[in-house]
Amino acid sequence: MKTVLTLFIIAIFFSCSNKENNTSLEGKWAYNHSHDDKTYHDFIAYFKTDGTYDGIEDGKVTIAGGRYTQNNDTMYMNDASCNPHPKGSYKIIMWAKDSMRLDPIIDSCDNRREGTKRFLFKRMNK
Amino acid sequence: MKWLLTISIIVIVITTTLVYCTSANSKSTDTAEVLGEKLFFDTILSGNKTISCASCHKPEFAFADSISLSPGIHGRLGVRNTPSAMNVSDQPHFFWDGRAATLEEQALIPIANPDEMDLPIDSAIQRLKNDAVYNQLFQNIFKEGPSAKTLAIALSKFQRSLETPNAPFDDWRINDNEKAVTASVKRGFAIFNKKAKCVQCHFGTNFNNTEFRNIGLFDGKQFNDSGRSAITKLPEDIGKFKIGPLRNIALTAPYMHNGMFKTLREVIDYYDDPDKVVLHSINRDSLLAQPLHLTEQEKVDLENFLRSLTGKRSE
Repeated sequence: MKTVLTLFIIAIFFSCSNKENNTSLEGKWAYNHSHDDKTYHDFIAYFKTDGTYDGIEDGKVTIAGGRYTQNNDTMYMNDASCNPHPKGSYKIIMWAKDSMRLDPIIDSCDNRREGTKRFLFKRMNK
Repeated sequence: MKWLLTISIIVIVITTTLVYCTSANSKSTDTAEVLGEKLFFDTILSGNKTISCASCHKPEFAFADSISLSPGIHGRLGVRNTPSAMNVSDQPHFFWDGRAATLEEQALIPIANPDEMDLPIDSAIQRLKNDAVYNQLFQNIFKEGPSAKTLAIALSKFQRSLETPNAPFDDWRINDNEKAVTASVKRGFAIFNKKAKCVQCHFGTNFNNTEFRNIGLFDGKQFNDSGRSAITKLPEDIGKFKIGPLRNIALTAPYMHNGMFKTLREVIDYYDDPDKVVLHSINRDSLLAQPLHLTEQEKVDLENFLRSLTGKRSE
């Protein structure tokens, strides 16, 4: 009985987690830090509906017009700053509907790989 | 007796308010950034007290200069174009050859340079110590008198305040404000990323990456500034210079390390076919191996895109 209950809980956990993974990336995601009771957006990733993405730091566009596609919990992305490297692929780890992390699967562009994997992004309100 | 108490209360309230306001005002002006601004515009930091940092880094030109080579003390000319002092907060290298690794290190070098302000740092510190106003300001802010360290901190704090986010290009990309830029700017952005390949070097927050590149302005004869290699002593660095930031580029003509191009159009024409300008360049980057063959409209669009990177100083 205990085993069945455990398996049931695990099944529910994975089913929930799969649902979260299907969440669309579209919108703005911020990596924040807090200081003196204020929240600072250190980096914002903006995944647009037309399949492009921008990176934003301190009110400045730092990556512009990158291209991404999403296939369930995997994202493929490329931007001109990483040329001539091919697309990088990342596993989308959704912690909740409003927070996620991108874990590199394969990406030969060092800057993008190193710059992405350390962030825990929070979805920004529109 | 009652009226005496009332008057006393009013006097106390007024006095307290005045003291608070005075202290609030002095608090807002007694910062390293404000001190840095005062120093930046003060000729006290040049040998004969005729020029300041702002003599070459002019606010109206995005804290760059409008001439190829800026005259230093006694009209002495340097050898390189004055770079903008704006948007330098996150730069890993300073000067065209990257000889300074921090803003604090950079801040003191022009003061001591004989061709620029020609005042040894020890002398500069002594002058500031002898000046009652400066001496007091340093004491208030740093709890110590002027020193090379505190002078560098003050100047660099001011420079760090010269950020210009929210250019029309940013407004378009970040806020989806399609009216922030023209159709020509949008086409220019696409050309920047693809046909002209500018983005291969000009990317990041200020569109300048962190590298040094040889764009073909070294031939060992007419163009003889070896750039980065003078610092690293590496032969492969001959003719390499820091990639120039593009924010506010429309305000910072003339262009390149030697200020040889008067307009953005001249810059674009050069990149379109470098051999038309410098025929036998040495060690030119392979990205510039072939002409771009940009059309007239593409050149116009590219220039308009560059102009859309002009921002206002953040408050």
